[in-house]
Amino acid sequence: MKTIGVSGGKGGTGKTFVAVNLAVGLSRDYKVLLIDADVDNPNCSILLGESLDEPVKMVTCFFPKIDEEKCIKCGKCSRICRFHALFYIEEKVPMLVEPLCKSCTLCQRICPSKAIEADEKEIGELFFKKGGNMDLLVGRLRTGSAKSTPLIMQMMEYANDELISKKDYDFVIVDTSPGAHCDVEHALSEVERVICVTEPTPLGKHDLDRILQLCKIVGKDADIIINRSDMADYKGGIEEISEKFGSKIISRIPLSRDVMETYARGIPIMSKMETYGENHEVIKEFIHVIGGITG
Amino acid sequence: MSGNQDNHVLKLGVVSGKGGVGKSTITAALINLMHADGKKIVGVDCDVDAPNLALLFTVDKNEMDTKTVRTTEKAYWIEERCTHCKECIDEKFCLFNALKWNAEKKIPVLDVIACEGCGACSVLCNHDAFGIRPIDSGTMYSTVTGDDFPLIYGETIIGASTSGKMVSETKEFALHYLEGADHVVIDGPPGIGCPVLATLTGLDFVIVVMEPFPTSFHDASRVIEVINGFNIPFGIVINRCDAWDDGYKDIKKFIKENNYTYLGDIPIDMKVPESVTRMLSIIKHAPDSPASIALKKIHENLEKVLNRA
Repeated sequence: MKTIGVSGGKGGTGKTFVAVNLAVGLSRDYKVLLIDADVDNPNCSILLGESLDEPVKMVTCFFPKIDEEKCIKCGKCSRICRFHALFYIEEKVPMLVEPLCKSCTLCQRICPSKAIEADEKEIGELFFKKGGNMDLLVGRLRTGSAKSTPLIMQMMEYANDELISKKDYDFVIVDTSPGAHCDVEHALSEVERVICVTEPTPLGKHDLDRILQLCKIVGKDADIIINRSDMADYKGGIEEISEKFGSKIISRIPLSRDVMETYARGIPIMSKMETYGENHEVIKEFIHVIGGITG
Repeated sequence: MSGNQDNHVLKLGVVSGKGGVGKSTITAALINLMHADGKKIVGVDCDVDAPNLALLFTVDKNEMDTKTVRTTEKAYWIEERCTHCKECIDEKFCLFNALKWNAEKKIPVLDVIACEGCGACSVLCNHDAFGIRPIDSGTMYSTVTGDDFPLIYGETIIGASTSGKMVSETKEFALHYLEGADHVVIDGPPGIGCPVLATLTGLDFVIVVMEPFPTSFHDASRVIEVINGFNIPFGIVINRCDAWDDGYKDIKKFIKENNYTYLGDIPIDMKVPESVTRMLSIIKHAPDSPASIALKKIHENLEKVLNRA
């Protein structure tokens, strides 16, 4: 089994578009699991024209709840909390400042009077869609919640325990959120390789530099795909970053009216190979990338 | 940056949910148009993971002021105190998967990136073999643009990311430059999570950028839910409005049904990617192009809405 992450730094460069079409293309010959780890804005299902029905799992997260009768008002929990999430006034039961809590459970673990209980709150949901040769796992953050990282960690655990270890997938594709922060780090934690999708502009270059720095720190090899490669006359910038990190540019996907239309209708272009033909300017790029992955 | 008390400066933010739909392009254009209109502007980029706003302005590097912040703490291992008892692993001190066991050397290995700095290892280890200390987590920059107004942005250091906190720090830093300003215009991060929540806090008005595709519609609807949770008034702009007709109609219907404020739309204009590669705002690069004309109209509508409020 091979695991590949799709990331890119800048938003809107076509990460999900690439992840979905790679997964669909691979699923012609292999068993594939596609994981949508952009829990803020999961879009894989939209590009696959699928609806998300019943969640397969509600994901919750620990928050401390203090039993006022058991609490001896010592303030130890407040002193050890490095996020200042427990506010303590002498002789009073500490109060939780919920947005600051990182759910580390240390307060519960050190409370001398065992007065802290777990108050599990819902932070998001997981959805699972079974397909013929391709399954889809989606995490979706509850609006208003700031807990995307624990949601991604629990989704990856679910993927490993319930799916990957039980089914014989040949490929796992993980689509990440934009940026180069903890959500992206955790989404990429299990992957062997990363494909970074960028656009040929100074903004694409700047953010590609950052995501490749992250890949380097976490020790993942990364390749580059330039999407909408002919959108602007921008020479040399992406090549410069490619050289700096030793990451190969494995494909340049041109602008295409067919992509725009299928994208808008929720039809992955790789599912239309029979309609457009293997020599279609975009399809042939995906065939090339898939050849590199499977070869 | 909370409330309206700091010199009655109006705080505007630009968000979209989905990335890459034109937040920075539109923010830069509105800043230019407001400035040309005689307003005193402070521009702020709160997309601390991918700060791109400054790339669309000519900034004077000589007038740059920087400040490194240490909002993040990380654990470290103290070798001489470790008794190799492995309790830290067996008792699962770390809930963030940042502690792993090196069986060969019989030592715990800290994954500094995964470490959230909660200090559980340092508190729970009976031999005090872990400590916790602050690390450099990001840098804030204040620059002066060619048009002589301040532009502030923050950037996280890769691997030390606490993006939400960095957003708050950047907004705090921008407070130093608010004197005499009329408008603060903030380019926001994508998504709906922690950095977006930190960006929205204390804003007076939000511009939501949408594209006529189901993905953007979905993500923008989610960020609108969050904005409504904050009870901040907002207006919608449709970028690349002629990219897909059905999607455009869907958004217009959505705006009408919910009685949301509509600020206008921007057509596809190849001068926009061209302006980005030249590192200029579209208003400076091609002031008479279709996108610039549309943005001028949006600016007029925005001022009307703001005056009414």
